[in-house]
Amino acid sequence: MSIIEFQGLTKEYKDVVAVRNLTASVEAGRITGFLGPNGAGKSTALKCLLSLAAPTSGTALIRGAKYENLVNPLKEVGAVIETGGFNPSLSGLKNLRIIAASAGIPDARALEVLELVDLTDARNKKVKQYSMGMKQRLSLATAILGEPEILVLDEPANGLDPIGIAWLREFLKKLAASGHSILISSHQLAEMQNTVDDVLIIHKGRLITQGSMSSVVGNGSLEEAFIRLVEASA
Amino acid sequence: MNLLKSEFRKLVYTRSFYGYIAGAIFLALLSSIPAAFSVNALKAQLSGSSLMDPQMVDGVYGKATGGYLFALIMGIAIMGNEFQNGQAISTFLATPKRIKVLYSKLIVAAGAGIIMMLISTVLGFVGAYFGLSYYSHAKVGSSTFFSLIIAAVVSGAVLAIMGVAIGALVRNVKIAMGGAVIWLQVVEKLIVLFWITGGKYLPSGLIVRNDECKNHPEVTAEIS
Repeated sequence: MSIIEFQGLTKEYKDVVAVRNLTASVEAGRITGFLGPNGAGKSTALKCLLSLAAPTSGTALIRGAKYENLVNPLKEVGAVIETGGFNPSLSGLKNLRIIAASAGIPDARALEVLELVDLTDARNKKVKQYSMGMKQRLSLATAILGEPEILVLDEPANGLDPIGIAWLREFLKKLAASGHSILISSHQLAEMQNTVDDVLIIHKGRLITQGSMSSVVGNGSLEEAFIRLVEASA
Repeated sequence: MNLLKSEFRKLVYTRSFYGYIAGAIFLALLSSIPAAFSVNALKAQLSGSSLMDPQMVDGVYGKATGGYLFALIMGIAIMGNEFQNGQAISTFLATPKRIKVLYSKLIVAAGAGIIMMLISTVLGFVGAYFGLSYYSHAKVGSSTFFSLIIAAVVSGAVLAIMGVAIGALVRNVKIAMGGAVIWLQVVEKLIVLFWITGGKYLPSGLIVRNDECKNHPEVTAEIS
């Protein structure tokens, strides 16, 4: 069953077509890697999916509805889009409480998620004093704040050191094991190969391929398949 | 209600909010305490009016509303910081319908502007009272407290809302705040200097209750 669907999604910015007639879907209960070179349109497609950008044409739906029409979005979809979204002068805990309040989520949940992302000790530290890795963890804490079944993560491993990446891998595996559906964009192909079930590759805004990891990769590595597919589509 | 609670938290969790209130109080006191001294010093130019004149005393108490600049600045910060920090992303992820976010910000800004102006104006009254009390001949009572409070409440709400609007239009908070200060403190004063009756059409004219302006425009110009 498809939980996320892009149907002929196109997004143009003046003369640039960032996403071109993208039609793809993400299956429930699986981790799907959303891959593509820099400027492929991944982030734009995800912003359209999350109603942060308006599509020029086509639609991006979550459980058959636009994100903006979800009754309580944070309780249905958790998202990490760019490392930001926080007031740097406030502590991680206060930032989470602000977001929790907007979705009617109890304050106690903010402490719970900080513990889940190993930020309990830094809860009262200002976000501007956080390292990149800590900010990524805080973003992930925000994503799971409303206990959503679906997670949309745009480059969550950006800026993480090897320990942070290992932590993220385990974190995602735990979420997947508990039945979450995850759409994750990343450049780290080796990491993706170990983490995701399905792959969705776009280049220059167009879908190149979509399928299970084994069907896309075959006997080689994800990196080899990725380079081959991207070059073939150029 | 959830969104209002969230916007309220954004405001009260931020230290600058308390700085804006302190700034409004400071400006109110800075305007109201010396006003009695200015009127007394200028009595020779006032065609016989002095601090025994109820209109003059009302004018002195009117200076208690002088903290209005900070209601505007706070409104700018409420909206502008959202974009400056990138906080807008998490806000719009929680509430994708942006018009709801805007309404919540306007409501919270208006409420905060009212509270700020109430506090600063009441303390400004106290400052004006002490200034007037310095002169034994001064009449320290006034019949305009209620109307001044109403003016402070209305202006606090309206200027904070205007600030939110400016913050939405000018995304750079520092430029927006600097522009607002220059407009209120320089441009409007220059306009009033050359077109004294035009003050009532300007944002600060909303509050500065220049009843005395009709009779003593030269004093109003001096003590403001």
